[in-house]
Parts: sequence; structure tokens; C-alpha cells
Amino acid sequence: MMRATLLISMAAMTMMVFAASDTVAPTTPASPAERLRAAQGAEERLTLRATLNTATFSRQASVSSQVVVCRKPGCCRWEYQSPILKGLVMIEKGDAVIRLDPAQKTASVGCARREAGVFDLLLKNYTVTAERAEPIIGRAADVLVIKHREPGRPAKKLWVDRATSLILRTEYYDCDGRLATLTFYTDIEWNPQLEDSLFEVPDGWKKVAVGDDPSKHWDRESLSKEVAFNSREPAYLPAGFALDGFHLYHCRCGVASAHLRYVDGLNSVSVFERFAQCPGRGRGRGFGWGRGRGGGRNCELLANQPGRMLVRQAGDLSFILIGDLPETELSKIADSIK
Amino acid sequence: MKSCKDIQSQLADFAVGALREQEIAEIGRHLQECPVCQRELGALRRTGSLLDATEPEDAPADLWQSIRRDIEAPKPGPARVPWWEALFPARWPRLAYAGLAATAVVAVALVMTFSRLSPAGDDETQDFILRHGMLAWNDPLSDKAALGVMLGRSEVGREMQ
Repeated sequence: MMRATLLISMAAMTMMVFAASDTVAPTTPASPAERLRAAQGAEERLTLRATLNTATFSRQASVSSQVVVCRKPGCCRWEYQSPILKGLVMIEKGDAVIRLDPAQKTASVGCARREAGVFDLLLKNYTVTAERAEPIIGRAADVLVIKHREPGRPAKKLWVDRATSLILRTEYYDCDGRLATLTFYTDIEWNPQLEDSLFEVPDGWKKVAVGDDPSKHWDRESLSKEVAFNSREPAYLPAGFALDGFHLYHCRCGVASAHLRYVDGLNSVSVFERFAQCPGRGRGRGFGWGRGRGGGRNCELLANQPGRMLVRQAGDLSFILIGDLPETELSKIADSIK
Repeated sequence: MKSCKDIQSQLADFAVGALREQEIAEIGRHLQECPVCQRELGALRRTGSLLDATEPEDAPADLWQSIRRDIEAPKPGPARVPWWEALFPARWPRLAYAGLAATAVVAVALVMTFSRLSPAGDDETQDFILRHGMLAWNDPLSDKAALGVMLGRSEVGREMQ
């Protein structure tokens, strides 16, 4: 009798363990690459209110901010607490990215498209390794390291929550190997009630459309007609990069530029092409020595984000290259634009 | 009781009998006791005698016409000084001019050099950097909290549409 009771108790306990594991932890993907794929889509499925810290270490000045995040499927809101950001709120809703500026009561609405297949490109170009297990904010997590197969490229370290696959901490290392951005959660409240109004532009605010619609697909011919010159593609691209698309972009003076974007899964390179004699020249600060008819700028590190910018002039066209690549690589791309 | 100074200020009128009786009496009393004011009165009277002795001369017949012509005639403006002479008076040494010119050249060169070396201060290229960042929003594993800092620090949206 006692043996039977013991057996029944053990069976019940085993069933309880299985039931608990089924509700708390999803099946853990076998390979680091699959774990990364699960992490990539995890935040889209989750509902949470959380606090995270983000810091950008740049050439000019580092910026850090505590951010209150509210997320539910299809929507996310980031409220930046740092005084330097003056109450900035970013909202993502579907493909729309909205920037709320409380000082001006203005909502700048842009569009960020989602391209399928780029994650596969990442897995093709980068290796993903599970470096170690390391708990973070009291949760079991695995550290995944993403490195390009070629040297001199950016890398990422991610702390992936074992239970939900949410990325709890991100470290981005630029192509020079320096820690460029760092973002990590400090506390998370799971499944809170989140009002829909959190993800809307407040009543009475001015809405401003930002830039051109990046979801519109252009080919080289149609884009060339739009910008009134023949758009040129670089003959050289660093290993692993592929054309993401042709885009139309109007700078603030209204002049149309061709925007050619190349991606390798984790990194991107933009090539902007436009007439060198833009009527908007001189609207910014400074006299712009070295622009216009001159040979263009030297390669420069970006002030507020990882990466470099290179400006070249060829005839009456100006080429602006932006990407997180070594200077030699950006120069090679620029030199190959004929 | 008036002082010598007050009395002497009235002596010219006293000498020609242009004062009231009360004032004449007061000054008379003072003169009886004050040799200084007596001397002053004597000097005034001598000067008056000399003036009385001179023959008055008639004014020229066209005096008022000539005065009127002078009044109504257009006045020539002040001599026009070139701006460079006004800015740099001739009394400055040449070395000072050379120093000013050299300082101006160096200042302009510095301003233009720094305007070239400062990409963050260039709104024009900043727009392209923002566009580059915006299109990275939905890249795999993008750190949107960090991207938001970059987009949020910009002026994007206010001038572009």
C-alpha cells in the first residue's frame, strides 16, 4: 500500500514538473544559430513593461539614458528619461516609427520596412557561438557571440533569456573592436495591462511625415529618372554584402538623392548619390570648405553613432558613403563607383 | 546785507541809472563803506566815458541783404572721408595695419577649417546619417533603444516636410 502511494506521488510530481516546464520554458533550440533566430522574434510576441539602460559611446560625447519600455505584440514604446533627450518618446507600431517631441508637441512619423531574408544573410556571413551561461537580473541567460567571418567587421554579444528568448543585454562592438553601444534591462514586469493610448500620437499634436516611403521599391532605371541622373552602383563591395534596395531620399532642401543600401545581416552601408551643387548648401553651420567643386571630405568617424562617413565628388555628382567599416573598405567602395 | 559780489553785478546798471530807488539806496550805502566797490564803479564809469567819446559808424546799406544771402545760400557738407580712412586713421602705424590683416586671415582660415572638420555641425550630412540609421531600424537584432537615442537627438521631422 505504501509502495503504491509512493509510486503515485512520484508520478504526480513528475507530471507537475513536466507541466511547469511546459508553461514556463519553451523548448530550447539546439544550436546557437537557432537560439539566435528565436531571440530575433521573441520581443514581438511578448507583453511587458520594463526599464532598460542604454549607452552610446561615440567620438564626441557618450550618451546614456534610462528608458521605460512598454511592449505588446505589434507595438512598442520607449520613454527616454535622460534630461539631454528632453522627454523623447519613440513609438513603433507596425511599420510606423513615431518620434514624439514634447517640447514642440510634434510627432514625426516615419516608416521602417521589414525585409525578409536578411536574417539568413546574417547567419551566412557571421558565426554564432554560445560563449557561456550567465544570469542577468536574476534570470538564467546564455551569452551568444556573433562575429563576422572576415576581420574588421562589427560584432555583437547578446544575453538571451532561457525562458522567453528575450534579449536581456546587447553589446555592439564597432569594426575597430570598440564597445560602441550597450543596452540592458534592469527590471521587467511581465504581462501588464497596457493602454492602447500609449502607442498613439496624443490628441492635438502636430503630425509630420519624415522622409520618403522606404517601402516603395525602385529599380535603378526608375530611380535614375526620378533623380535626373544615372544612378551608379559600386563595382566593389566588402565580402558578404548584398544590395538591400534602391531608395529615393529628399534632403532638406528638397533635392532628390538616390540611396543605395547594402546589408550583410548585421551591418549596412548606405551610398547616397546626388548633384553636388545642392541649393541647400550653406544652410548648415560653417562655410563648407571642401565641398562643392572640391574633392570631398576625408573619411570621418560619425559623431553620435558607430560608423564612418566618406564624401566623394565625381564630376557634378556627390557620393556620401556611411557604414561601420574600416576606412580602407569605405574608400574602396567609393573608388569603385564609376 | 549784500556782498561785494552781489553789488558789483549791479554796478553797471547802477552807473547808468537803470535800478529801482530801493536798490540804488542800498548800493549807495554799500559804496560809502566799501573802497573796493568804489574802485570798480570808477572803472566802469571811465570805460563808459571812452565809449561815449567814440563816433558811431553807420552800417553798410546792404548789410541785411548780405546776411540774408549768407543764410539762404546752400551749405557745403563736411568733407567726405573714404571708409577705409575712417576705419584706419592715417596716424596708425603701418605695422598695426599689417597685424590686423594677418589676424583676419588667420581667423577666417580657422573658422573655415573647423567648419570642414566638424561633421556633427553639418545639418546637410546629418540628414543622410539619420536616414542611414532610420533604415537600420528593422535590421536583424537592431538595438532600437540605442537607435532611438540617435534619432531622438536629431532635428529630424521639423524641417524635412
